[in-house]
Amino acid sequence: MLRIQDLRAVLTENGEEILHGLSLEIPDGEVHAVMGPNGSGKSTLSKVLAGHPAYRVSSGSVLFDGREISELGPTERARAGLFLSFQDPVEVPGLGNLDFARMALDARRDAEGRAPVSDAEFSEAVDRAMRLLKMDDRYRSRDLNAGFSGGEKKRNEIFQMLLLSPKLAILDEPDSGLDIDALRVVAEGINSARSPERSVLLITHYRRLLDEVKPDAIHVLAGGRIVRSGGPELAEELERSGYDGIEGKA
Amino acid sequence: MSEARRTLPWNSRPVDEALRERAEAFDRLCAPDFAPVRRAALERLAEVGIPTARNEAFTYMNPAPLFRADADSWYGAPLPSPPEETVPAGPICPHAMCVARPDGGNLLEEEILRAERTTDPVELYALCFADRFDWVRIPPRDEAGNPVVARLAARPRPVAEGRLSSSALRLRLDEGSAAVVEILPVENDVDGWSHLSLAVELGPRSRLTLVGAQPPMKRAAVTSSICVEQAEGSLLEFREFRGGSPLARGHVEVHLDGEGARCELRSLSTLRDEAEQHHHVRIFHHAPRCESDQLYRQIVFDGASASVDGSVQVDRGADGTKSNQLIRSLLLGDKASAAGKPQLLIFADDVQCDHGATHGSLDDEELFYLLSRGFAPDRARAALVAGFAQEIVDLFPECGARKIAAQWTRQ
Repeated sequence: MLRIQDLRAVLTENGEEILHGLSLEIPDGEVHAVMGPNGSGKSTLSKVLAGHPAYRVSSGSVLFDGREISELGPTERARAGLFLSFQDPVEVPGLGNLDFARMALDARRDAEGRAPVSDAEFSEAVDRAMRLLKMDDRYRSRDLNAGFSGGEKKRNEIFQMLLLSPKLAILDEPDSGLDIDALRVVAEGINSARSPERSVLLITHYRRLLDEVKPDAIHVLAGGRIVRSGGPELAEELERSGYDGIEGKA
Repeated sequence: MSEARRTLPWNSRPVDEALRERAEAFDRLCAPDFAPVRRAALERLAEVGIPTARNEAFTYMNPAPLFRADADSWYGAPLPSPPEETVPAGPICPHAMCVARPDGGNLLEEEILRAERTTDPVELYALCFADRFDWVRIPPRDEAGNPVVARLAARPRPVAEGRLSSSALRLRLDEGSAAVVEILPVENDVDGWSHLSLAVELGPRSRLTLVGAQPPMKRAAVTSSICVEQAEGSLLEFREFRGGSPLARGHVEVHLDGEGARCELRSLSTLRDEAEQHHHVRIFHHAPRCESDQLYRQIVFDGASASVDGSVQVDRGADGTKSNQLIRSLLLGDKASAAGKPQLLIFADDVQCDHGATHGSLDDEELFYLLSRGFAPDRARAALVAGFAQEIVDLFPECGARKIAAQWTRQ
């Protein structure tokens, strides 16, 4: 699904290199976790993959579903089936939460040559996702993330993911700031989205999310490159020795 | 009368003979009952002077087109007030045509006093040619004694070619009364000038929602001057949408005279092409524990320009004041311009006042968020602009003004 080879990315503003030859491969249907210390480039990786204009790919390649996407804009990447769940989603007062979700869904369907979603179909999909994520009805009438708590924003990101059914979901710290109960709900949402046709790149600091969402592989990102990859047991090693220990062995 | 209401810290030029002659000719021809009011306005205008571009109150707008004195000016044109046949039936409010206050007040004396303390030269100029005043009184209960929320609409005179078309509405809410008043849009987009003069007295614990929406005008100059005096515990909710015109200015002046009075102003301007919209807002906290809350939003496309010149003055003794003033402008054209000048003048000790102004294009992170969900760039920008406006539109009560604001925002 995703093959990143020797990816180097720089800040558009001043050319400073942030990712230094990162390589990573996520096969169809797998969940891969990327862990790493603060400032290692985890969020940068997610934004580079989604096409944030603050970053520019200087070399290397990003193949998504067999297609090179590093020169595409964020709209095209999203329409191709890539979804980024933001660590700190923006608030847009005045833009209704469900209006936004519906417009996003129609954009995706338009890219697939499908007709706009019908009222009944949309309503059913919304009800299903809200039930799964234990979202109360107030979400329907609120504006996009406006006045949401940190936990509500995280749920809303997963809610959008469930509606849009992307081929690749990049989830940037969907667990940060969540209490235990909320973490379980978000994890349940992620697990429900697992399928042979969908891959997940899960960025996290902590092992506790990986107790709920079992990854197929774990990668350690440090200094702008992957320094270690392994199975789920790598999380336990990180818990014992910390990132310093892992980097030392790399 | 407080000194603040009389002081004019501007440079102005004197009223010239042409204007005086014009006003006197008008006196001889039109509505002789109101001649004393017009004379009071002319004398006050002579006192404050015709503003120039150097006047502080016209920092962002050149007033010369309104006060031009050349051969093609209002002075040289037919008499400023439209001939009777172009005057509509008046405000559509059924109570509006009374000429004497039901409570026995002397309306003419009140108008003369009002003219004598007016500081807005645009208002004074229009009052020099006022030929009609409509008064409305809102009692707290209907004839059966039940409390009511009165719903009224006032229709300004349409613009007439080459003329000043002035409308004056006076509104009083009795103690404990409540009303929703809609100012209907000015009609007839020709090369003329429309001015609305609105003076409101809010009695103790009364509540007024004042709402208006003006679609854009291509040719007409549109000005208004709204003065609200609030007694203790009263509430003013002011909602407006402005589409701008070649020359558009709104003067709003609120006097929080009674303890615990509160005003909430929400304004949205959406301007395209070469349209202008200038807001001049003055809030006076005269009494303790009053609150004022202002939010002005401007969406400026193409080569349009917008400004908000707003000040909040807190008098000595007005302790416990809370005031918030925020101006936000979205600039969406290479030649679009916006200016904001929030000011605080505080003479009391115990106050909480915030103010700020931001002008810029759409937020890059918000835009990226929408793009990352598959929105095409144009669609994403449109959705963000609509959201920026919708926050204000949502505060409009259900009425025609809300529909107009929503319509012009969507475009």
